[in-house]
Amino acid sequence: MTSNLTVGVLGGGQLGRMFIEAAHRLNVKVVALDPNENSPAKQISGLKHMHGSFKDSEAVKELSSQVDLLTIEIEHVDTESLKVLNVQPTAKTIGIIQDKLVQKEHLKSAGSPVPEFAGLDSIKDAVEFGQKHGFPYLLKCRMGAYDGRGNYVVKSRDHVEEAWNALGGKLLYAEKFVPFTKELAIMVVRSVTGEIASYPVVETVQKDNICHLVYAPAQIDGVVAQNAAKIAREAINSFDGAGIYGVELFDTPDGILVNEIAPRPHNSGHYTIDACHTSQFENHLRAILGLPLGSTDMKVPAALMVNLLGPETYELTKKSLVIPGATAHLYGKEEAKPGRKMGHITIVADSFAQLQSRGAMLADIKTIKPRPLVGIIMGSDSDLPTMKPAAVILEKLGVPFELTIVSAHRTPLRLVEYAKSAHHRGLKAIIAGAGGAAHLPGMVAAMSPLPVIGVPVKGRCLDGVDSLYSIVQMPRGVPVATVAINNSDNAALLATRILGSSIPTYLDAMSNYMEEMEKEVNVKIEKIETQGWKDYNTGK
Amino acid sequence: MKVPAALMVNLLSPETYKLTKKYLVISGTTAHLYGKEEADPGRKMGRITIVVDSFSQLQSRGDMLADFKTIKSRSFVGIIVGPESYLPTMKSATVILEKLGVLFELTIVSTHRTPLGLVEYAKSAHNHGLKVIIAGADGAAHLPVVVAAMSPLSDIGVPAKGRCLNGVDSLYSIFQISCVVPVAVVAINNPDNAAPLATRILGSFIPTYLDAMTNHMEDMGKGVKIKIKKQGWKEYSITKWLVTLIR
Repeated sequence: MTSNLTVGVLGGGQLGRMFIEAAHRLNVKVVALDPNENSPAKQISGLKHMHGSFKDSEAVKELSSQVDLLTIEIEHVDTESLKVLNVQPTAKTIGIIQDKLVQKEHLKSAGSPVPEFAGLDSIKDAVEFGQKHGFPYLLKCRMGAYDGRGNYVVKSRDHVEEAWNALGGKLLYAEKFVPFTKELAIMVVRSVTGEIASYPVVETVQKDNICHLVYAPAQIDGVVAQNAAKIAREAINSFDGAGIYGVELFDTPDGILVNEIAPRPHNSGHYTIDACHTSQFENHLRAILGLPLGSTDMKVPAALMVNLLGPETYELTKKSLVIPGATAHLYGKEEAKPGRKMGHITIVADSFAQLQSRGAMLADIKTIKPRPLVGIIMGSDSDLPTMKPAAVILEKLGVPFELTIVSAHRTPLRLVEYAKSAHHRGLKAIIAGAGGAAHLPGMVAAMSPLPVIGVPVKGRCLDGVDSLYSIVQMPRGVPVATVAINNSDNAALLATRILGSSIPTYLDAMSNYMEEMEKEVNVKIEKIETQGWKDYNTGK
Repeated sequence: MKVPAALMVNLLSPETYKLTKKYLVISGTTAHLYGKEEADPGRKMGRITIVVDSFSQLQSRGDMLADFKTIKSRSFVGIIVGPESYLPTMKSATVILEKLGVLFELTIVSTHRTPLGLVEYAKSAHNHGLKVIIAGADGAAHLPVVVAAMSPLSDIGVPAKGRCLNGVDSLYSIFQISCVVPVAVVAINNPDNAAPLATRILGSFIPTYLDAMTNHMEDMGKGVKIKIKKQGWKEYSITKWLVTLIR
């Protein structure tokens, strides 16, 4: 690589600013074209930037003549003039994506799952769409919309005209309302060499139609996340051109749907600067220059991005300075108008438990249910009373878990499925309780690389010694961590210690728990000394 | 630190760009170039930071890092034995840990003969950087339990077969402990299982060890498949199996 490459970027907002930050580290120069003379991107580099509209074909040509390669930080550009210039992603791709109807048609024909939609030419079409697909539905502008602007929820037949006129009555299309359970997003990057990679799936939370929070990774089943990433990569592979793409998805009871695509760095990918090995901005640069792509893996266990909007920006930034793991990114914009994106804060943490408590230090933000880290399984519902104490302790120690029945002898295929997928789904340890010829823990250990804790359950005969021997005497190479008969309490504590070996939050939880135990005994010692042993009531 | 381990390499003139390109293919690498013109040899032109999930991963990226001085990393697993006579048996755990690339230390800590040493060891283990403890003991086998009572780390107990009672005494001593102090018990005289269990515990958060474990399990499967195909049952030699049984 050489040190005298220059990239021109259409648009000079915060995305351009963060792109320049990444390019600088690789000695790549960036020149921005933006009408604002003091735009966020222009502030942070001393190069001679261009002042003018990125929709103006003369200005774009002039920029192109000054640089080795063009790219964009906004898709609402003049694609006609870009067609003859050296730009990534390609003018064709930007053209398809900037018209949301054409984008949807493209995705549908490429086989990507998308919600029902239709182009509309008249109010009559809009009424018919509602009658066919039901109200409410979404009326959307095909071009130029962002951050929820240009969208209108059509509540009923009576609201069609109102919606139609509110959006200007032309270049509109309709989209069926999707009853999603979560809004997800994923950044996908493809190099000019064809190499493609995707970042983790994240969960986005919107407030007033603007991206408010991004939780990474999304607290969904890991196998579902793998599938979502595959759908996103396939969608991006249907487009020409290199660069980073933001793919917004809906998680619905019937599966993943693709909502929208952006052919540029995306707000849902800002967390990658602090939480991933290579940020979306650096990978965009690597992709358009044909350098090897950087790892898209997270380098921390959990991250939360909070957008800073309007006047509250500085108060939140100040607060963030005392939160461990928080990094503030301000965009250098002058006027903190309500709703304007002024910056963002990324908080990283060792676990979701820690992330949520750090997030709460910043603001009263929406928390999400963390993905289970421990799986409790038992051979039969009759084992539940024995296994319940494990659940109670995990709850007390703040360890997210799941509990279900998996029988080695009656649901053998479910056992295989459970054991094989456990670590892909996000579990870190498995607690398995079984009685009699207790094969459940050993079989799970034979198929999963995770630590498996076996709880021998006392059955009708042999006092649980049968279960103990079945679980503890595993052959060499296939270990089960065995705890005492009927003692699922210890299984939960052991699971917490396992988490604690890598997550300081749980190591602390365990240390505190041990101190509490000591205190409890100390209270008893004092009691026995003050009351005397004769009157001491053990209460048991 | 927000990551488990990192390495910074200074880039000195004149090989900056050649090296930068070489490093860009390593996962977890971030280059920071300073925008200086190439100049006299030795000038600091930039730096590379490589972030990894463990020191083992840093070493496993050896091809790219071949020219670098590696340093001995801190142990993750502490193996302790009560009776020194149990050391030879415990050695099989070290062989497996070595194979799986897990760094460990091994020492003698006796509950009944060095009780203060035991307290010191258990109380400070997590501060030294250990993540898992494997403790082997026989007879009235208190070592793993007492360690678990004083350390917040995961503690794996290996019941050793002593002179009497076939190791059932050790098993019960380790395993039937009170409701609040967990020890992960493996089979009698089976430190071979303590080593992969420790690796699994590391692997639940360190991808390098999860991969090591997955590969180890695949190897075991292949080993069995080879046996299945071997010789025919008449000539099949089971000497190794018999040895194991006798041991």
